[in-house]
Amino acid sequence: MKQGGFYRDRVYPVLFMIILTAVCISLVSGISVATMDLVRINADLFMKKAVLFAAGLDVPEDPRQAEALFSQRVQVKDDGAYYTVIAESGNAVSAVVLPAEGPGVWGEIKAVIGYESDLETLIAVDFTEQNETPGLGARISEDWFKRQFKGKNPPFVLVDEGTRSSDPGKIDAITGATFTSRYVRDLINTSAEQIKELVTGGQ
Amino acid sequence: MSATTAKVRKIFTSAIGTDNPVFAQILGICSTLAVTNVFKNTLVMTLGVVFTTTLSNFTVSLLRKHIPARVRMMAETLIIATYVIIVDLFLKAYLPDISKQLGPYVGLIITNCIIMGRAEAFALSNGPGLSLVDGLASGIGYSYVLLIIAFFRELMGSGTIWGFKIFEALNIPWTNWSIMVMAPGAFFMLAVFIWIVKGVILKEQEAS
Repeated sequence: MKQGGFYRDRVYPVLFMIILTAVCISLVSGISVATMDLVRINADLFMKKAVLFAAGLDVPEDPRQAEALFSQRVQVKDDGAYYTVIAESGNAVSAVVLPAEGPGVWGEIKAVIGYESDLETLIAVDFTEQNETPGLGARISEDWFKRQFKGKNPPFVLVDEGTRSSDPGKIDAITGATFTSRYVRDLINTSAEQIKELVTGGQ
Repeated sequence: MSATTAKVRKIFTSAIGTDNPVFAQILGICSTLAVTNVFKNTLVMTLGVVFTTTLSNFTVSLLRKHIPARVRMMAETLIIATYVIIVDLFLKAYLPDISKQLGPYVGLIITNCIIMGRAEAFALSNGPGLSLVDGLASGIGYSYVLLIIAFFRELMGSGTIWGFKIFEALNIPWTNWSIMVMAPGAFFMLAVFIWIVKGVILKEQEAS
């Protein structure tokens, strides 16, 4: 240790790390700033597509078309507390979409839940954020699961996967993902209690 | 020239075969367990690892004469983390769907022992060119093992390949092995893989 001297042993390593850190941070923040807009647009578009899906509309793959459809048919209410979707012709409200969040197995589950204008019948559900087990709980993102709510009325009870019950109060759970299924059921049941108060009370 | 070519070839064959980071050195197992239940996610993850090992090895090697020995691990981690964050930002901006699915796993590439291991064991004592090749070779050696494991896990666990329902399309009755998509499934697959490779292929090489 002695032959190196004060500069080589003490000052140089510190200086080196400061310079290296500065270089790395500028690189990373440069890229971060450059991609920031794109990331925001992606997140925004993702949410819009989810709302369109929950309202039972055909979601266009093309970002611009999805954007156009959203601005044409969807109105954001109460700073995003819920969305109303107007019918293709006329100004009647055809669907109300409510964002909801609740616990999941590994992290929060965020969803948008689409209701008919009676605020009792579901159209579809889309998940905007979920960290469930891939291959098990993460299968809530599969199309059949998200569309099985059409025409059904919460509160729900769960039945085995594959039952496809015609009972409006029963939804299919996912095999091997008991807890995820329960969390989703609770999330939707809670939202059903909130939506009326939110929509009718807010106007 | 030929000496360099021979060296490059040796680096490649050892990383892909006899000295493979996953099945010979048993490194990077954490990510092997975590991401290999869906093939697509595994592919993106391994591309991220190849990118990171290659460039971090190259950068560490370029700086190897300037990095003070007592802070070398800090410097290596910093360089690795920089590249991983670049991968993460790239995915968020250009492949948002996959980025969402991979979640925290991209960030966890930083802790992949293979990357740090190659920086310590190779890049610190070899030139930038060779280090680049070594990083690339290690990355590929890691990737193909994970991709094989992911292929079988997705096939048996979800009955799909790249999301395509293969058994349904071929009309073969198939019950998904739920355990294959959970972490224990990765243990079994990895063990079977190592068993086959070590017991059959590497033993034959030794004998001949």
